[in-house]
Amino acid sequence: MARYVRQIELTKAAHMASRALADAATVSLEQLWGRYISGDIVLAKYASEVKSVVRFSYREAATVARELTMQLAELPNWEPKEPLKDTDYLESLILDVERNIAEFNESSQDDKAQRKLKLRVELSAVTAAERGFTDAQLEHYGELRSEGYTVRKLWQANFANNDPCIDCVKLSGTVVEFEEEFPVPTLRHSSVYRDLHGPPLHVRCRCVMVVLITRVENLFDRVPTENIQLPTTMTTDSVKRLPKTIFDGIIKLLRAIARRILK
Amino acid sequence: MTRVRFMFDSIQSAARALETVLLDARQTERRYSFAGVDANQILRSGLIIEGEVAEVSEKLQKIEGSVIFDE
Repeated sequence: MARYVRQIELTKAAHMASRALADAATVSLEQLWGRYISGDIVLAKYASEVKSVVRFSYREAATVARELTMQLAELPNWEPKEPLKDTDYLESLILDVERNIAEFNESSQDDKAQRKLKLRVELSAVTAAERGFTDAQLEHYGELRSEGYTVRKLWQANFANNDPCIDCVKLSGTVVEFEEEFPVPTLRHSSVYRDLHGPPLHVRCRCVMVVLITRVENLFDRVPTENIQLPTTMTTDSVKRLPKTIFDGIIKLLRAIARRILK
Repeated sequence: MTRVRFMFDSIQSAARALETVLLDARQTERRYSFAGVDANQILRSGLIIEGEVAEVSEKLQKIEGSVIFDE
């Protein structure tokens, strides 16, 4: 069984994918907005395409998290259930998009209304990429738990090219039981969207949840509560050390991003 | 030690560059390092490769929207 530090490193490597998805979604939405404003597509088509971006971000992030679970389980011939497709959380984000577009449609559609809509749909897509990753972790590690694995959840803020908020810094290093929610810090945020079973705590949150698997081999390891960062430089050797499933997942995602944006 | 920085004009070309360098790093015996490590970061700051980079540099130059920024 991988030591805790290795589990954290692999989770963070895989989580880079959801960050990339969030960035790609932002670009896709910008392009869609340009098409709508130029009259190339009508509002109904814009709405349908935006929802497609949100679903894509959520599901692709979930697929990468599924690969991660399979890698860390180290169970021969074990595969998690099918990748997450439709969940209450995703449905809630889709409903938000529909509500915001309907609100825009009934408004004066002036500059302020346009900025508001653009921002809100972007936040839905970015949140989808983050939460898709988290939800798939909850789903598939939950399956591992029913196989007899002991799993707990660790919150890690992201300091790489990112300046986490005061609440995320406070949460970083917090360990809770798998079925528990993380405690909501109240320095800056008094509430969260739906729940805090895992990130994001807030919009544009780049924290990651690491699900720690405990077996006899690492039973007495200390859970590292300090922040463990991935290097910002990689070498050919470190690329070769990435597990095949994680590596394949990242490559698949980079290709999907290119396809999505070119579409 | 050769050091090259590539810049890209879109996130899709940055994503392709990252895919190219990851695949090359995985499959080759050549030794080099690279930064950054996500497409958005590469779009903002460029992709710096350092070491035995002649072959991978050639592949990166073929990506539409890529330009050698400095070397």
